[in-house]
Amino acid sequence: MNTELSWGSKVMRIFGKDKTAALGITIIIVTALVAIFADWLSPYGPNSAADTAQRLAMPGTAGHLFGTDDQGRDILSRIIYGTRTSLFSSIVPVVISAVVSMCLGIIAGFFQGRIGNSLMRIMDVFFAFPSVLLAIAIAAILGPGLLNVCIAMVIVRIPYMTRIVYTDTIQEMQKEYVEASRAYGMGRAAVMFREIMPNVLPSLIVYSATLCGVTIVTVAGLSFIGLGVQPPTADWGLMASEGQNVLMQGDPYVTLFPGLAIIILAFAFSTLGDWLRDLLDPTQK
Amino acid sequence: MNMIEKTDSQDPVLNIEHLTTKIKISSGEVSVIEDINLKLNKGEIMVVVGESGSGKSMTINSIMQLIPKKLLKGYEGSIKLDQSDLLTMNDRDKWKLRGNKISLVTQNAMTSLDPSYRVGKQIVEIILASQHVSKADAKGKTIDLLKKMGIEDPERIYQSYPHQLSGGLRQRVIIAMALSCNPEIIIADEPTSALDPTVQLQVLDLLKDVNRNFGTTILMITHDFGVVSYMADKVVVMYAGQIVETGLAKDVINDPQHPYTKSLLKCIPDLKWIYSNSNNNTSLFNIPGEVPDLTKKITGCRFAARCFKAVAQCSQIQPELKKVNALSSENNMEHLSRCIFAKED
Amino acid sequence: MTKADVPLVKVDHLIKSFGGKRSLFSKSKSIHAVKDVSLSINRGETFGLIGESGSGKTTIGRMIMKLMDPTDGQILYDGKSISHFSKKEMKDYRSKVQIIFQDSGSAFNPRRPIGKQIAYPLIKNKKYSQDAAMKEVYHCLEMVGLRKDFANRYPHQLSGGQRQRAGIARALVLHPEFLVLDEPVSALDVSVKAQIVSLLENLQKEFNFTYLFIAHNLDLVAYFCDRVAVMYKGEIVEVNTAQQIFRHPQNKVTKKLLGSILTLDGSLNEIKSEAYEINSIN
Repeated sequence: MNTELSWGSKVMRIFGKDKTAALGITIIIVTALVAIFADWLSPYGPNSAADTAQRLAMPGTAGHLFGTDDQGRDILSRIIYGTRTSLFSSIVPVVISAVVSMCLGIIAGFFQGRIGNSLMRIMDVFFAFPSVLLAIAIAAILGPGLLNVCIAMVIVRIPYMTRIVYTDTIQEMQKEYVEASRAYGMGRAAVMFREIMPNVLPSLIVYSATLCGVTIVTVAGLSFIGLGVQPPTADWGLMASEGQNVLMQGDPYVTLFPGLAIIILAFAFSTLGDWLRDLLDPTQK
Repeated sequence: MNMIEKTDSQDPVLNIEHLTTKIKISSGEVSVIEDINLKLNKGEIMVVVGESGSGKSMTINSIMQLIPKKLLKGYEGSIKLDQSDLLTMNDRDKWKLRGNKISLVTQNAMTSLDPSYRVGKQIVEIILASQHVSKADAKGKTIDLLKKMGIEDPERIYQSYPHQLSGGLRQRVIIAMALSCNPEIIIADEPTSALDPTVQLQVLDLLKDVNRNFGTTILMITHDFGVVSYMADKVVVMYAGQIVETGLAKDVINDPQHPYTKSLLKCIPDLKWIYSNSNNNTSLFNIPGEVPDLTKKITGCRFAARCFKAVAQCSQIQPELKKVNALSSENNMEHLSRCIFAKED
Repeated sequence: MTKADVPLVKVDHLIKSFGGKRSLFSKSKSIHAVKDVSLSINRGETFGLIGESGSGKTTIGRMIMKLMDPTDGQILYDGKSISHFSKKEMKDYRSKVQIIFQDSGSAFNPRRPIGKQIAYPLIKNKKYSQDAAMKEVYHCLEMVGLRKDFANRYPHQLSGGQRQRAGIARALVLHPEFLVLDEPVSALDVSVKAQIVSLLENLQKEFNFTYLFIAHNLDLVAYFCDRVAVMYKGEIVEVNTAQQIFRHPQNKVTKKLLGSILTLDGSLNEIKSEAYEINSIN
């Protein structure tokens, strides 16, 4: 009971217990590897149209496992290259907003008076808009493009994450270890970031992991309506969008495969969140 | 002692025989309580006393069948409620029987009450679920119950939300709630541990009144011998999952036989010096060490490692509960002690 | 006046109220947690503060620790007002005055080993080296009866009693003179309670500590304290030596409190019957 498990064995144990999490994490690792080695793995370049005769080839056609789209581009190759934009546009904005929210939330929770209240009121204003609508508005103002979509996602996520950190911080502030650290003269910054932060970080990490999945879907949605990634970049949302023209003409696979990819990766992120929660619990044995 | 006559010729209301509860742990299983025997007669107050890790909560959780299936390995022995064994019954009968006969009063009144409903409504719901009465009657009954709990303005309390009440009032409401389905037994799990001493006394008095006026049998657990001496007819002292001493409360307190009981009693400061003209020169008795880890095998007496009386033999032979010479012989209650030094009858 | 004549801690007309802030549309009602409390604690004594929950005893402890600022009045430590301390004096005060909490479960940061948390103020405030600090930590753990290897454990790996011991070790590490004991044993088992009180007693003998013992375990207060103050609704209603308080309580509140002690023998019965009369009148 008193022997602290090493991180490695802790990881393995939870991994072994939770089959769903194991699957989810494997998916994420594979996706990341695919993104890195896309140039080697992909049978074709993302935008190389073989020849016009190969347009809308059915899945299973020789040389085109997933078929080709209406411009004759290999769908499998585009999905492989699409992992790059998908992973980037889901993870980067979430990480940035998590870091910003962590600071804002702890500061607001620590100084509950005027500073905290005004900070949280500003957050509440953003909170009032549905996040997708807000993202559309911001992306529309900034103009289309991957970077701008990411900026929009950062702005949209901050209020939610700040509220989580804020609530957790207030809860931690009431615990006696915070008072104890003040009693021996620990400075404010140290109390905030040495004592409180490690205790509010886990729930933020868990939430972030789940949010990555949600962000993939939102970014894909923005690309779908033309505010996100611009053609001809290989992006799953964009591919799904391009497929809609031929969806009803008996070629559903052009939309189907990127759509499936989005769903699978979103699922993988949400299981990652659950798994991290167990991993980061200090009492978990 | 009590107005309700305690008749021993009757069968006990609650009869626990050779109860062992096993819990799953990562390295197999562990018996958290072992060979527990308890007989509760109608109208009695029995107090189980022990520290954390003694198994007192596990005993109650076993009776209430509150141990999560995920943790539970299995029970041995029997828990008979009016002759029917809870452990061999199917779930539906078990819930029905238990719901009508036993009520639980917990330590933390705040978590037993739903914060988003008025307390009156919560009691009415229970009455409506357990008895065939009209809503108006149920309300009348609730007000009446609250009044009987010594609450001065029951109408106002009826309309209050849990957070609007003080700790003492909340505990009264919980007791009213427990009584609302006319149980035969109230099981009280450290009902006053979270309260101020003055409020604790009021709640204990209330439980005594309930016992006297309604004839409700009470099984209570506590870690405080002061509570035992104030409340109990019978006392059960538990240590590391076993009963180490049991008997009439006055016998056990005035003539403790087991070294653990003796030590626990000595941990309570003696206040006699206050009436002397000298300064306080008493000192507190200390039980060294900690409660043993039940997941490790213990040979011999479980208290041996901390016992002031222990000899080499103690850590070799597991002592049995032995009958000892009881000071008083009323109620046919035996005074038992699990120690090789216990003076035999 | 010699140093011995000056009380170590003197609380002078202390007032603390919460709320009462003016917002845009309304002024919230202020609550007086502490109303005009004065008391003095002498060097080397154990001063008990008893009363029901909400009577303001914890708030006084927090203000002496300067975890909270009083609304009015002042606290003098060794004759000097703590609210006028310079930065250096404050730093000094932070090691002279320490607190031990009731809830040992939350008194340590759950995510760091106990030893590191105890060592932190030594390294940060007193500029100890890592090794010297850990040596001091081991020494303090030993003084409270914990083995060295407890330093590497996380709070959840300790029992309640062990955590409370570790809490005491953390207070000891800075060599304090004055300890606020905020219900240090209320949440512990009977046998552990006795162990911790004995430990506190022994430490006091060894280091001549001054204690402010905030409690609602009245029998322990009678046993442990030299003088006792009884609080009710933010005010002190009675101060006397422990023996006098328990033998000849003057105030109705004190009598009611004493009447609630559950004794095993018949002691305090006179007070109890009197307390019953008071209760039945109210």
